[in-house]
Amino acid sequence: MLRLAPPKSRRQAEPTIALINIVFLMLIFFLIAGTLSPPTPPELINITSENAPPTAPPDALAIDAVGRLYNRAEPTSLSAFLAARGQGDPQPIRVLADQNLPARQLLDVLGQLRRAGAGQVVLITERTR
Amino acid sequence: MRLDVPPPAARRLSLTSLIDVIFLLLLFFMLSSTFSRFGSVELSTPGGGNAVVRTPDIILSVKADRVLVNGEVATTANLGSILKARRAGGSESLLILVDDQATSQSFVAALEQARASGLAVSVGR
Repeated sequence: MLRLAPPKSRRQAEPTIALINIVFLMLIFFLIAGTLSPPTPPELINITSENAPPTAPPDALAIDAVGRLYNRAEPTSLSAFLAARGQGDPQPIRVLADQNLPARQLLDVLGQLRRAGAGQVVLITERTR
Repeated sequence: MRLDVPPPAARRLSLTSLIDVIFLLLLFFMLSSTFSRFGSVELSTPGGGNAVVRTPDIILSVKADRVLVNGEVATTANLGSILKARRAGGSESLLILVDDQATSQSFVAALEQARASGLAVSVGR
């Protein structure tokens, strides 16, 4: 009686090392190329500017297109924001505004900040080049 | 009696948990990093401490769709050169007035151009 060799049942092992290589490369890329940033309201469209001096990603008071205030993507109010910030913080207050926010509302918020005792106020924009 | 215990077979290092961790790290960095570059524009608000007392030489009026320099229509492209020419012509201070319909974008663009021209800028409404 003729004996046939049993069919090879073992699957070829997947090339795990190659997979890890690729994932490692992606990890290194994101580590180096990206900058960690606090969350901002997702629907906010940043103001663009050409020659503003560069700055770190915003940890800022965000104002959306209809004038609602956010602190790190959480709705907030001006008094709550200032209370959370604490007194005597020497850093300037950073403000992030939507492109389509009426400029007068922006100036209103800035005036309220000024009256509440805020020192320097800096507007964060997105650099286009 | 001597027994020859065979040495335990070296187990291959399990790669699954390693991949798990690396995937988690990758996801974290992909989701939490940003690639946009940010800039900062300093703002002096109306009613601030250093209000301009005397009359400004130039009034820059920001409207919904256009910008007026002392009443003359300017575009975003030539606003910078107009302001530089006026600065060379002896003007020193500039007042930005924002209209009801003006957006923050046009306001900031005008503010930047005015700052770049070297004039003393103040903001009113």
